[in-house]
Amino acid sequence: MSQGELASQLGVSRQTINAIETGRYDPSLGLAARLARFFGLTIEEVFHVDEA
Amino acid sequence: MWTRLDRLPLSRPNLMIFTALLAGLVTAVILRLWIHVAAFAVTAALGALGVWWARRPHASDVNRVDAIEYRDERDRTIARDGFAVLGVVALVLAMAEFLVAGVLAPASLGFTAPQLLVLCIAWGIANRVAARRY
Repeated sequence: MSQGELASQLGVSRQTINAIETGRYDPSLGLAARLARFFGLTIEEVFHVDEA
Repeated sequence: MWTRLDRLPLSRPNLMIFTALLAGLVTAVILRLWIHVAAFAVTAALGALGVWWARRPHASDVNRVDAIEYRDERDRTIARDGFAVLGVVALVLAMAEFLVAGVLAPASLGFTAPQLLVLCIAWGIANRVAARRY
């Protein structure tokens, strides 16, 4: 699946998906939940939280 | 909740800007100020071109933010950061203008002082609204 297709499915821009993938943008909790739900995963499984 | 305004081919801020431009255009036509008519018309045409360019499916994020046509939360975050910098620059410039006017042109303080006061009041209100939101 391309970034554009995923962006279209989630109602955001392709640049937003790219920025999330490359770690330049932390999505809101709502978008993170939509993203996780889209892949059938939990937020913790999709996003790695750096504890340090 | 979706409203009719959400289905317009331009954002609400741009709707307000274009309404103001149209009002200016009509006023200029009534007053027969043809240079002003041309200025309003050219500004509106360039603005419409910018909105159309920003709303293309493959427009860049910078294009959308510049045109005030936000597509998602990241666009709004970028715009918020941009406007925050703009606010600091406006405050610093207004303060400098106030000080320079006080020294070189005291007669213009009647304009620069209220401008600085309004900016400071807007800043205070914005801080309180943000504190309540977060």
